Amino acid sequence: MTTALSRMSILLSALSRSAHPDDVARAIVEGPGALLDASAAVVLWHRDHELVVHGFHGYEAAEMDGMAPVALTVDYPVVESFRTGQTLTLTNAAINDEYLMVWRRESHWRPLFERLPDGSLATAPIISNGRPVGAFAVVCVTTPSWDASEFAVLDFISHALGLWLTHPDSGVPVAETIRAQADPDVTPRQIAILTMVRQGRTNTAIAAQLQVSVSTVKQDLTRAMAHLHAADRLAAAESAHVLGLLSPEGPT
Amino acid sequence: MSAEKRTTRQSPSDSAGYLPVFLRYLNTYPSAEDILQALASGPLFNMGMTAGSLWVLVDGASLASIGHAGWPPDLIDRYSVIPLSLDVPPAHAVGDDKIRIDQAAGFGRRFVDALDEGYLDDELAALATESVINVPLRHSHSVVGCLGFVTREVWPDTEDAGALLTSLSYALGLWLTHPRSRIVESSLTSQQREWSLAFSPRQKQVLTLVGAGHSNSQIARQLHVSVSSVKQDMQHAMRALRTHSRDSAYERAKRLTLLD
Repeated sequence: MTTALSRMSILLSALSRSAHPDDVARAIVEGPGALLDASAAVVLWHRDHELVVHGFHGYEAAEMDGMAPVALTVDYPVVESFRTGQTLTLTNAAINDEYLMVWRRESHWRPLFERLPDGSLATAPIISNGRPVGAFAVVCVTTPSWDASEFAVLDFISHALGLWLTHPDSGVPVAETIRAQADPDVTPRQIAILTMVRQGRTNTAIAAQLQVSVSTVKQDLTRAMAHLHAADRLAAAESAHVLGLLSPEGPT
Repeated sequence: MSAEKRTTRQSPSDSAGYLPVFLRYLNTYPSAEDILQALASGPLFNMGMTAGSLWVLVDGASLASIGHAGWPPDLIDRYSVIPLSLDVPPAHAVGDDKIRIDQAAGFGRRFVDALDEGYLDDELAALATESVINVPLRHSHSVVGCLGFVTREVWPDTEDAGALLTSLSYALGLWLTHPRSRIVESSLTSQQREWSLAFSPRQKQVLTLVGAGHSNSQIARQLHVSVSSVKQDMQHAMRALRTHSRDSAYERAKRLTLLD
């Protein structure tokens, strides 16, 4: 008997091995997805206001053509999950659902639904440090009960993928992913200050350039150091650089 | 230790519900101390975790503490750095890349032998410790650190218990090597990667045979290659492992779990 815990460890093991993204999608299906009777999974990441397919398993290649890349304005459940940060579940049989009607009209999805007359679809954001950095979808052969324990499974996948997708070994440019989600913890002025700190400028010079007082610069740096868990201003600037928070052109 | 005391009150399968919550928390990149607190009140709560430490593997040679919770203050200073050459459970767990489960008594004995006479038994008794568990943290085919913790219960030998520790090994490995955790310097991550990529299957064979005490010419005959290519393979291995002798190259490769 394979337990819920061992299902979860299957996914974590694949994520840790720097596996190919398609293998990660497969590990979702064979790992925690099995608790939901999943037959297919797709992992997308966010780049330039689009969701780009990173890996998939169990979908037909033609279905992926309709999926890659998806503008954030397209009315797909996986896009809505990314935009709202909410987990969505859709029952395939719920044909009266207006949303699903619109969605099913798209020809490349038809084979999927014909294949799974009693199935359902779940989409959820991939969360890193509290922010969506991508989304994933799981196609289920049957319709699970979709209560607390199923949502816990989706939540687990969401956060496990978040740890991996933003990790340098996932092959997704981590800095780009994080920059795409402007870090709410570090303000634009703090970023400007940190960029100049990294260029070796003094607080006085920075204050003069930004036309603020030196004490404001110091205050901003203290806050940035706290957010970035850095002991001094140079370490904070270096951390911000590693995380891709600094603009490459320097302050404007 | 009575027989009744050696029973398990609850199964770690209850931890299946805790794991998603723990992952959610890990994904916010908390400090190592906060992670240990979260483990004690989350996935390891049912097993009565009383104290724990997180170490990062430095230069493939020693474990440096990055956080701890629940230990007596004296203990923390003494074990902030553990050389892998030391005969203690965390070093063995990392060296062999195996999850180690020790009974408290045996654990105390080992430390007593290795470090300080009569010291740890008292400290562990104060923690009401039954099991001592050391989990190597893994990432990308390498060991990158260690989670060590003590529990009030005997750790059960079940599939669930194993899956829980394995999950923690990989999840904490992802966290440890993630730039956001700011634990492992990028140089260390790249060094780990260098090690894992540095060795061809034949170099591993050569190192293994060196460990078995064979001479270069014996190894060459056995592998059907020339003596000079054996020497070349050893040169490469010693450079990658930053050692100057064949024996220490083998020891180090074994400790880094580079050999099959």
